[in-house]
Amino acid sequence: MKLNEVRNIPPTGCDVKKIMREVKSKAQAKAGEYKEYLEKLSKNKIDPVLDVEFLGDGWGEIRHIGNRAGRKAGKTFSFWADASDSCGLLFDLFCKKKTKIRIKTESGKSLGQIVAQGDRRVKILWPKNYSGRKGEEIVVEIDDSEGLVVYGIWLFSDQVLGGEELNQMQGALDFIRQEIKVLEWHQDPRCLLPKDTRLFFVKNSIFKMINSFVAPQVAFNGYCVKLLREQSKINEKLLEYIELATILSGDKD
Amino acid sequence: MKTRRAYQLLDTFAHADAIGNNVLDIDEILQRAGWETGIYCVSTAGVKQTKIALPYSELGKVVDKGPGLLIFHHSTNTELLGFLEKKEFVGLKKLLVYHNITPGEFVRPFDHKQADKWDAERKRLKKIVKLFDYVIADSEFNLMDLGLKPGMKATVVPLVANAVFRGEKTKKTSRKFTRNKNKILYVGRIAPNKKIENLIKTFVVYRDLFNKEAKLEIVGNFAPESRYFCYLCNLIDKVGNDGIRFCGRLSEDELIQKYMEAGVFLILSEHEGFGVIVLEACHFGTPVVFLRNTALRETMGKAGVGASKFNPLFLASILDRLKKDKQWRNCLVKEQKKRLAFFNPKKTERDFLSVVNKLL
Repeated sequence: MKLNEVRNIPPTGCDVKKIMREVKSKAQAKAGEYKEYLEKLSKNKIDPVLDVEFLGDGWGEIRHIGNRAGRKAGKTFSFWADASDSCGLLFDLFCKKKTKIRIKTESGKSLGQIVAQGDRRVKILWPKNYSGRKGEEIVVEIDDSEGLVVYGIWLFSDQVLGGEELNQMQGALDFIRQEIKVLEWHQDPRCLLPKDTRLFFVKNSIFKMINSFVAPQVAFNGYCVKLLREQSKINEKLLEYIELATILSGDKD
Repeated sequence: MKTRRAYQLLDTFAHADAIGNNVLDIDEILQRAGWETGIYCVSTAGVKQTKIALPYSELGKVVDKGPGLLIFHHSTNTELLGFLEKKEFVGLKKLLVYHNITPGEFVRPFDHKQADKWDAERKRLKKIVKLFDYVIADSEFNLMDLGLKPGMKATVVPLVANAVFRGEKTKKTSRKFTRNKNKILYVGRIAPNKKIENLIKTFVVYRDLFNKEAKLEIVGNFAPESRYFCYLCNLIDKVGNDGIRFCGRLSEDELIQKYMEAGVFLILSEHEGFGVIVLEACHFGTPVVFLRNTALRETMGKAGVGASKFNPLFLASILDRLKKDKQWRNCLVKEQKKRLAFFNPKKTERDFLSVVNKLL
């Protein structure tokens, strides 16, 4: 090195903004590989319908449905229900194929069984001799776990609808609104691709490559969006009615 | 001059626990300042603690009618609050040290009963504050839970940080270990609010897309039969268990070794009241990557790498950069050491004593 040559001495500190910019661009460069990786995992190991969240940024088996936590493990879907102050349970499910569904408590007491296909509302009345425990787990056991969606759980009682029910309905409505957003987002998987590369990907072979996986999901999600919209409308009307009834009866609880 | 007395009261006095250490620190500080002290609790966990603390029912017997200070550590639902309202304690000045109660939403999918209890306790917080003459919290994040701000009969004294500077841990840093840049470390409870699942997701993306040699070590106590742990095991089954290891609870020696060997300390907890563990990582020169939506933001200040939201790919890219960029690592370690100096134990001790001296 010549004596009069100017040496570019790196500063002792770090340009954090520059580093983060570089990290972000590295992450963006890996985005395609990352999506493929997630899709590969979802195809083989994770239910693409139940684990919609998975397609976004991670994996998830625990879902909140109508303010109640439910989870799917293997061929069972379970959630907690408070049977001590209710007389029954109502939940909505969707099965892709004709499926046998058994409903029982965590202690193994059978609450009934049905054969369902497509959209189905299941109503269960607690048996007369059944003294439900607070917070008992209800297990929905299914013969074929593929394509089962439980999208609404309500407990109902003999009492007149009041503030508590209103809150439950509000919770269910909020959940449905959220679910519609998630499903709309996932309805078209192209939305998940980075903005600048979206057209490129759509026009080229990569999208064609994953199309066989994506097409049924798009159709199914589209169906769910419609279903949930309908449900949302019904719930909104019902909420208005309950509010009105509460005001008229002077019960502001 | 009449001896001043202080009684510390807490629910569970556990060994090697941030709150347990905090109680011991306060005890030591007050004794040095000439106070007579005592520790009382509902239950103990750990051999040392049973020798130091007494059952809380004993407290009523020792309290005399002279001036005294009752320091209550609040971090969970407890039967102690009813006990505090007893007549014997009316003459005492009461100080609340609030360490945070986890919101039920985090634990609800796994233990709804515990979630209900915590939520009920959190709802009562603003009422509970009225029982006390003054409140100390570890962070402003915790004060907000109580609906208070510094100055409103409350202040922030991060005394919990003192545990990092305690004897053994400081001395043993002179031992040398070789850093393994492929090792990612997490230390803490295996609990839903710590979001271990996000840690695993980030790790598998890093392992599968960036570094096949990567290893994740999760150090901390766990209940193998718990729902949450089963959920984590199911997740690991799905994504492959290569490189993932649950180490359980370790001795202090082993823990120091883990800190000193780790390439990165990764914590993606979504609810932290202070986060002593990140300061421990700073102390042992391990770069920290964390989420900024908790009190960790306050604890770390400008140090460490704080991500604004959970995104496995982005976090994995950060881990990759940290492995490769030695200069950035060194900068981070320097910055973290500076931050650690901010929690000078002498300063926190002074702040704490000024509060208790004002009270009594």
